[in-house]
Amino acid sequence: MKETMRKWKIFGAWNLEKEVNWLVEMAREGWILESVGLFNYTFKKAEPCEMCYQLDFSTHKIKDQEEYHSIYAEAGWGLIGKMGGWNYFGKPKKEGETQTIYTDKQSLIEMFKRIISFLVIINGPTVYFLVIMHSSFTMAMPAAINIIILSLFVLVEFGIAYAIVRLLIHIRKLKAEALQ
Amino acid sequence: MPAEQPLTESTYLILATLTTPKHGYAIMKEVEDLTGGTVQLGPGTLYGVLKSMVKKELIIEQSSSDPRRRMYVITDKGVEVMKRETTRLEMLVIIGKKSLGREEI
Repeated sequence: MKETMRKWKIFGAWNLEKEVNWLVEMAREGWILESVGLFNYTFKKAEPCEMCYQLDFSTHKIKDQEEYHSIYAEAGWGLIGKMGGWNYFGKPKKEGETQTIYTDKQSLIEMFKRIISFLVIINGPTVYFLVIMHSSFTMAMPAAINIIILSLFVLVEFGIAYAIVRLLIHIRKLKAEALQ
Repeated sequence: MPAEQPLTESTYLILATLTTPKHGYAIMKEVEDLTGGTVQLGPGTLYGVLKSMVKKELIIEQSSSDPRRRMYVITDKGVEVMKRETTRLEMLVIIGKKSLGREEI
């Protein structure tokens, strides 16, 4: 029977490098990423090895999926799984081969900008939902429930705003590095 | 983005390979060959640059291409942008060579 382990984990996109390094460390300890679920990873026990992992945030259309995956596959990157807009890729480490999927700062910055656009887009329905909930339930619902719903949305809004700010700071850092 | 914005190295090289139609992996290989292995494009960069150049109409996708290996080719606008960028780079190289002490280079 093959030994597997599931780990629950969340990460901020601005800490992407840390997340990737953690996956590499897991492989060094003999835990190879096998699949990706919502906020969890499944690892398979194997011989410790040197792996490269990369995450790409992509909002490509379904019709573009085949091409997207085939470009990665031909470059040696196997798709391990998907979570939200994230695509997890991995390959055994080989000297002389690129170990990153983004080989210039500009295209990496574009990826982080896609995450911000995604957050702004999903924020639209969140605000809309809040307004509807608030106006239709104010009369019918007990005040306590109303407050809970409101606080929940304030929390979500705060979370999205926080993520956007962290991403903008990260983009600024990348731009400064690109100028060096 | 204003048209005068300099192209990134990746964008310039990808555009330069597309004077004849190519799919993603063929572009990657050709850039590697042309630069003697000094420039290796990652798939994330390649895919991102291709999509953005299609959007800016510097390249177009060939209609008959296989969905797994879509073929792209430079447009007239793309040729214009490349010419302008080449002139700009040539000017920089001339200035650089002069500054470095001429003859020996």
